[in-house]
Amino acid sequence: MNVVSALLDAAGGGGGAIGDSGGAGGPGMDGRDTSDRAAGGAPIGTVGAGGLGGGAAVLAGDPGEGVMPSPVNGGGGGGGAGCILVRNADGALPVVGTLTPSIAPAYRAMPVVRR
Amino acid sequence: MRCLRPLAYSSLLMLGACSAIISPDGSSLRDPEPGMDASADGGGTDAAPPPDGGIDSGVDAATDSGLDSGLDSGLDSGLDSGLDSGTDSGVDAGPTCPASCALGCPADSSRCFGLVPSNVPATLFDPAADNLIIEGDASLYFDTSECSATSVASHVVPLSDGSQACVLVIHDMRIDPAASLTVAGARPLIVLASGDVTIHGTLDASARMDEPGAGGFLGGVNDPIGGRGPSGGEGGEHVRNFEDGGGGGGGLCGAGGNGGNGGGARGGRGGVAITATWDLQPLTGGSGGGRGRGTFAGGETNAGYGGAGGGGLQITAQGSIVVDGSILVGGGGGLPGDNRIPTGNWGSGGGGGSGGALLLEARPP
Repeated sequence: MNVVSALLDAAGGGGGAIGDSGGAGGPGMDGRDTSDRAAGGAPIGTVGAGGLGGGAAVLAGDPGEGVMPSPVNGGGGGGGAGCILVRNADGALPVVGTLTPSIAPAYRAMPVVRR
Repeated sequence: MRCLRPLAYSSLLMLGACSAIISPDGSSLRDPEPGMDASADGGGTDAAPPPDGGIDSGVDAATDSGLDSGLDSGLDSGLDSGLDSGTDSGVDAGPTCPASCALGCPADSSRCFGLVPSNVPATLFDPAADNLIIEGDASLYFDTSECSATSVASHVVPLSDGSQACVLVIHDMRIDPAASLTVAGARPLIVLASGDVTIHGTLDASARMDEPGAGGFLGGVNDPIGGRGPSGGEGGEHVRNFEDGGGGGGGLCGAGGNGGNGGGARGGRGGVAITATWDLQPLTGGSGGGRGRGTFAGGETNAGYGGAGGGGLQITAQGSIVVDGSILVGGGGGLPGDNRIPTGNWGSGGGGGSGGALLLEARPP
């Protein structure tokens, strides 16, 4: 298997931001739109921002932002990273240019099953 | 002949061109392998997606197709014929494994090891299957809910947990640098190639906001508010207007983040990370994020919906897999609250969907 300069993307999506009375915040970024962590939605006014999605170096999504005291609404949490498994003859990771996520346990290699 | 259908992205209309090779202008070309039966339904695998799973029909079809003993011919691509090749005639040194056996041989045999695909039986491999070539800047869309390709064979196959996958059975697959194949639908996609897979362009099974990738799970909506899937994010709490917790992010190999608290209202918990030893069997897509909270009336809420999970995608090739383009199974971003119910409270944000699952397995080139 030869994976060169490729983008293997299993990033989680960013959480959505919110708006209280000043209008909606921004949506979270889709994981497909970045080779890094997907951004949470941008806040507007006295609101909480959405959390970053899990991605390259950090698998877990970030918490959404909360603001005390009320009145506030919380931002959505970021989505966690997905999983990438490569199975080849020797169970070794191929050369990869850009990978999201890029660290274990979300990106692993195992030997193929033979018969 | 069955077709994958080109997608006109501007209108999302599915065009009806039917081809094994898809050109930018939508023209349909044939690409018969030298010496290969050009039958589009090669291998006798022309069975409608069986509601109770396609494994049995696939096995029977492969066996009945006249191929050399089903399993072995599919697994070894003809290498079995060289049982004695590589042996030194006149010298009884026991079985010798031919150098052409990419995965080696059993200790007491010169028969090549074959590759056993994850999630599906090896009998579904079909050396006589058609190629899937996406040329130029062509864009194709394939719906795994229908799982009815027209240019290559397709099957619905049960997975070990009782869910189903859509399987495309091909010989070679190539996506040119400016070309793309977008996959969506309720089932994850498994591509079984008897030959090589080369992806210069884009193979996209990712989620877009609250629309799941192939086999991915929905985020929280009006009801239920929790994200679905193996580790969906929890919906946020509601105390009163302007006091709503955000939805938790969906989890898969990475945990979802908790939703933010809104005053005294707790944000939903993010989905936990599943075990790191999961070998992607059964194959599944990513988890949805939890919904935010807000004012709820008439079956609707102004809370943000959760992002959907990325898709589940497996590519198994008896030849090589070369990727210098992109394979995408990312999760969808959570949606912000809105003002459908005009109370001044725009609601809290939905959690993001988790990334999906990508499994690549191949023999060495």
